[in-house]
Amino acid sequence: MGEKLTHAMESHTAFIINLFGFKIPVSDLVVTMWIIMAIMIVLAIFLTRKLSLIPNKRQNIAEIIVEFINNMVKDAIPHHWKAFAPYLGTVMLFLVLANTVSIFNIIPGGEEGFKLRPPTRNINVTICLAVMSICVVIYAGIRYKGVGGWIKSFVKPTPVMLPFNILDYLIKPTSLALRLFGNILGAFIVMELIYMALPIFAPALLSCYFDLFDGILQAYVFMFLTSIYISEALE
Amino acid sequence: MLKPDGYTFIFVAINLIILFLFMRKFLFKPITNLMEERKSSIEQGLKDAENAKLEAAEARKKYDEQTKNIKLDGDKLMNEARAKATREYDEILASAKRDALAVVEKGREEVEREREEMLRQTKQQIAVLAIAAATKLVQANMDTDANKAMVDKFIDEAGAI
Repeated sequence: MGEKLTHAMESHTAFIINLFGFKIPVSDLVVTMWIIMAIMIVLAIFLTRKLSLIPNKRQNIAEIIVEFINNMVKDAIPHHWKAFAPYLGTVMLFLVLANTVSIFNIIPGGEEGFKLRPPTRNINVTICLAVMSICVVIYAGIRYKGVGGWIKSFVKPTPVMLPFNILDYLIKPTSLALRLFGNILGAFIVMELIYMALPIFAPALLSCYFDLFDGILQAYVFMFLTSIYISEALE
Repeated sequence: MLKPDGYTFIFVAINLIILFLFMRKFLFKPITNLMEERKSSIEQGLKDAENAKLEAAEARKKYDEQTKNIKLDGDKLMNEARAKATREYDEILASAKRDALAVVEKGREEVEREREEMLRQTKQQIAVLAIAAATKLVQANMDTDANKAMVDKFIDEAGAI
């Protein structure tokens, strides 16, 4: 049981790309991410085909999603929301799908072979997401305050705060990454254990909480905190 | 799960950037632009409607004013015409009266003249008759001057009656 669990938790090399003699291993996390990306891009293109001022059904769905994200970003970043809504929305939509991807398995549970498991259960993925977010935060500071203004923001409100402000840029991505990683991994382990202990009926109910609710909540939290950091950088 | 994996990190970063570019191009940009366009078009429509309403109200006010003016003008013209008509009527009436009076006056004068003429003729005839009668009556001595004067006196007295 422990081995099965560890097997499910760990990432595995799905295949190896041979590029000019370099052997680049591609893990199943990246393959899952590609699947999610493909779904997202196909859906985005499908939903926004033939846009018109009077929307049809498909366009309505796309508008609801975009407007929801735009409004959330607008609340956090009132003036420059337009520049950041696409990135934050992309991250949120990706995380919603990535965190809940395990419910799309035809046969749930820790079986052998390729399984759709949340890529965010691996710390490399969450750290990458957090580092990207903090890059966007730094970009926001430099883009809208200038390099000088951004450097000056380290000694605000007083120069005493300088070390803490520098630490901020380490703590923010770390907390983002670890929060997402811990939540998703925890929920994933609990769900795997439930699949092992009670394979019938119980998973459906509990998966609503551990996969859907927790996954969507963490996606929202990640996006919300990033938008808060961006608005702080713009102040 | 906790093992550092540089390849995965780089793959995820590249994937995220690609995904971001795709989503921005196909989902966020067009939909946001579209919604803004719709918002502005609705605002424009409302503004146009408001303008049209104002214009209509103004036109109506103008129209009402014009109608009032026309009515006033009409009344004025009517009054003028009525006054003129009255004046003309009076004039015509007065002139008719005057003419009638003149005709009556003329008639009376004519009658007077005719009467006088008649009187004169009658006087003459009476004189002739009287002379003839007197001649017959007195026969011989009637051609004297004294008698003739007597006859004339008689005729004058007769004419004075």
